[in-house]
Amino acid sequence: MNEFWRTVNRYLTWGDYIVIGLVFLGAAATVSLLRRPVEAGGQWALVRLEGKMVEQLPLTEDREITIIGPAGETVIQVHAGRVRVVESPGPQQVCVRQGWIQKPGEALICVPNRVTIEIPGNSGIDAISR
Amino acid sequence: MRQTISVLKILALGILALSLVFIYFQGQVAVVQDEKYLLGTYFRIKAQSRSRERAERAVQAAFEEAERLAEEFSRTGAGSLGELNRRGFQEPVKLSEDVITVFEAAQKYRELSHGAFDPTIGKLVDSWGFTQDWDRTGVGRVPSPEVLRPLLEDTRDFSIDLVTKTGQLSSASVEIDFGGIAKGYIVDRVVAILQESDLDNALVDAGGNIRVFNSYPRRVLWWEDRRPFRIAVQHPRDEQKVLGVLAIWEDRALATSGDYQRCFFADVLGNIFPCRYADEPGKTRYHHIIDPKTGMPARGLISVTILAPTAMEADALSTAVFVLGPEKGLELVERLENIECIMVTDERRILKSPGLADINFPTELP
Repeated sequence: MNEFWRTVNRYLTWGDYIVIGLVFLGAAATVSLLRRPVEAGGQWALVRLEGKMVEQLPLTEDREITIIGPAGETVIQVHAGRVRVVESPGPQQVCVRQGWIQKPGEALICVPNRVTIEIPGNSGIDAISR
Repeated sequence: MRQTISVLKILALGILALSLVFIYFQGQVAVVQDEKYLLGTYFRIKAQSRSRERAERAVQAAFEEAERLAEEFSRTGAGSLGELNRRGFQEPVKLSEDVITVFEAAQKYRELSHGAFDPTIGKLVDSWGFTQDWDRTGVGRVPSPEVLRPLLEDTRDFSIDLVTKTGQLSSASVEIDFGGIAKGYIVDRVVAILQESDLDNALVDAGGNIRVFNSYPRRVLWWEDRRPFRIAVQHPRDEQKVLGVLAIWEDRALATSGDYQRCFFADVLGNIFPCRYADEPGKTRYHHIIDPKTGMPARGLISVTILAPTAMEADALSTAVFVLGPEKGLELVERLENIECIMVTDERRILKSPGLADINFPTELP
């Protein structure tokens, strides 16, 4: 083993080791930067009607929009980086009562009007059994 | 000599850098997600594969199958189940392969649960107003004993002829409602299609009826990025909370039956109020999980979550256990292999089957 390192060290200077180390560090840094592009999310709320995307709302911009679905009007409000459903038709009002969402991976689902609002990203939860 | 060594060094470094880039991209995967409104709920598929194209094709094929089956299992639709419900008490009706498969399974769970799970109660469920378009109309009513009595007294049964592939109903009081099983069957069929497509992993969620599979973990040479699916269980009294999160490593299905899913409130004067997760003081909750023996909403539990190998088992058993109540329900779960459950009693206690002893859930509803 010692013989091996002696041979290697005859050709590699300590500068070479630094360069090799830098290549590895650079690779690790690049990978960790590229790995989770979605986690930078949380800036947008995606609004879908019957599964098709109809709006992309930046959470940085306060506004209120109305989506016309099969059961009526769903009013969606963005305020201070959060989003909620103010009004939506249907007897149970589940999505209205869910209140504000703001973290990546959170979603509001208005079943009667077939509207979903999702902040893309990974919350650590893949689904909710309900 | 010196120059040769420098050239070799630069070459070696280049190869090193390139192989790092290669290793990184070799571990790259595509995640394809899509959702559609089906069966009165959101049907969501999330699939992961090395090949985006393959994942997209698989998800599309899966949705086509789900749409076809949704029509097939509609209680009143144009499929063979709708046909059976319209004429099945007069003459045998030809049934599709899928409907027959589910009939056989339904019969099994009916016997296993001593009638707590019973698909013949379509008319009982309707008499409470829990019809197929509940999510739109959603007006419940408390049926009078005169309405319920004949439906309870008539023999409600069905017979399936596997040779002629036909089915028949025992009386006009019978309407087959596969609400507590068909969604699970459809999820299983969809998962079968995704599995044939050689995906790494996938999650199918039909409004809380969930099945996942993990064929291959994301792999970078010898290093495996193993990650469980993390599935939360809904808090039955608060839209904004969950009871806890389960880490699912293997192929598994989950289904929840709760008294908050389809319900209404009535006060002593008979006024009807819309469904809410939270209880309303002074009002009685009536929900859609009807006890086939009494014709009334089952009492004792407010939420049951079943873990099972297939979504159909989870779906049918969550209904069965809900109707059986805490003691008999837990007994049934313990008798069955590979089945676990989490339930919440009407006294807000959270019970788990022994196989889930080490999961971290509260013992009281927070």
